[in-house]
Amino acid sequence: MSAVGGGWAPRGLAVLALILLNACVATGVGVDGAVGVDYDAGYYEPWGYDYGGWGHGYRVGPGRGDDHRRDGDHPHGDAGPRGDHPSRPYRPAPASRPTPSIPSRPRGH
Amino acid sequence: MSSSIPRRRSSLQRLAALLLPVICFSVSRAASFELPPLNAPPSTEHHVGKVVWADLVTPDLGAAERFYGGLFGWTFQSVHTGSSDYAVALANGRPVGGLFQKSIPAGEHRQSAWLTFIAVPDVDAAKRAALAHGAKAVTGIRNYPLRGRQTVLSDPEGAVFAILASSSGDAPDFLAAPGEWIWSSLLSRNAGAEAAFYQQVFSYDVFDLASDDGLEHVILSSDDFARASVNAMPGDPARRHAHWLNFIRVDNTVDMVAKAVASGGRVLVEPHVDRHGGQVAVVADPAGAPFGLMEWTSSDSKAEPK
Repeated sequence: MSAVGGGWAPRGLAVLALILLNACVATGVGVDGAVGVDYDAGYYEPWGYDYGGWGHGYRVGPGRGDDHRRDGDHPHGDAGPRGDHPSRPYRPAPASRPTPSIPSRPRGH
Repeated sequence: MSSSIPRRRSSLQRLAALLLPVICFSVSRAASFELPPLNAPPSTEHHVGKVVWADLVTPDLGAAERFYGGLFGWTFQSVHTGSSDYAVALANGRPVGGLFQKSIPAGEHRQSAWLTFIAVPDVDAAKRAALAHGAKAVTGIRNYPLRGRQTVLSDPEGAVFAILASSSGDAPDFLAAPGEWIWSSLLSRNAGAEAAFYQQVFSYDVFDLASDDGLEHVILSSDDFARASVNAMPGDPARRHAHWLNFIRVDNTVDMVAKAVASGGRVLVEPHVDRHGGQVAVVADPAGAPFGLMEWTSSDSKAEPK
């Protein structure tokens, strides 16, 4: 009889643990890939840095598809066997390709 | 004694029967938070490496709505559940970004900012690739069933960005209308190394640009469209940190800068002619979040600006 009574507590604890685990999955607590119930992508940047002060000629925008590539050392495009270039950490697009611009087609056309 | 066991079992069953609906209700209430899809109707297109969304984090959602609504005519759709206050910004009825209110602990200084979301087909694979190439995880991966699967990362220089596999696909490549995001730039210490990182994660084509400021500027491209630029930061690097900066298309940059200032914003970079021949500027909203303004008209000069 005591075995019957003693069996309830572990089973109850197991059920409670499952419920709590389910709640954690549903709320995203500690589980990568969980359904988000609150928004956690809000990220504040550190305080006190300078976002202005661009000097003359400092340009960050796209061109119109007719921009000059940087002169130099990859006149025939990709260099190494994998396309790597010794002077750059990235693999530059072949020099024969013009620098693309942003989409020009208006919505609805 | 023998009759006390069934009574005990019965009371436990009654207790469980009472508790279970309460717990299940709590869980289902908690899980009801939902962000709307990026595209309605859904798009069948996917554009890896395209900037598809931006979220503002701000301590005052109401003030942000008044500022951006007044400046660009955005309207807002509130999503409020649990501890999250979030509003989807709509330009001409189309979702363009989110505004998320998050309090700043007393005594702390934090910089309000727009978070840039880049499209990927597989968040888990992209996260693994990013971490393998020097990124750090800022948040875990989260599913918002209608919006998609997303996570926030910081790149090797610490610039924070998000990756998103949209449940409704990626918007077709159209020219942004005024009031919509048109361009994104990463400002970094080592533009070449940062371009290499993003190329590894998003398979961008990278185009290095000639510049007359002596600094490195490159264009990241996918689907044969320019998606973003990576730029060596100007000025004193000690006073700057790597960050993404997004630009909203406007009809007249000078007028919009004046309007932003009149609405409580401030100018970070004065209007000037950029590479495409139109004027750009950088302003901060009343909470300090920087964003860019960019003219883009068919009549802009293609000549290199002087």
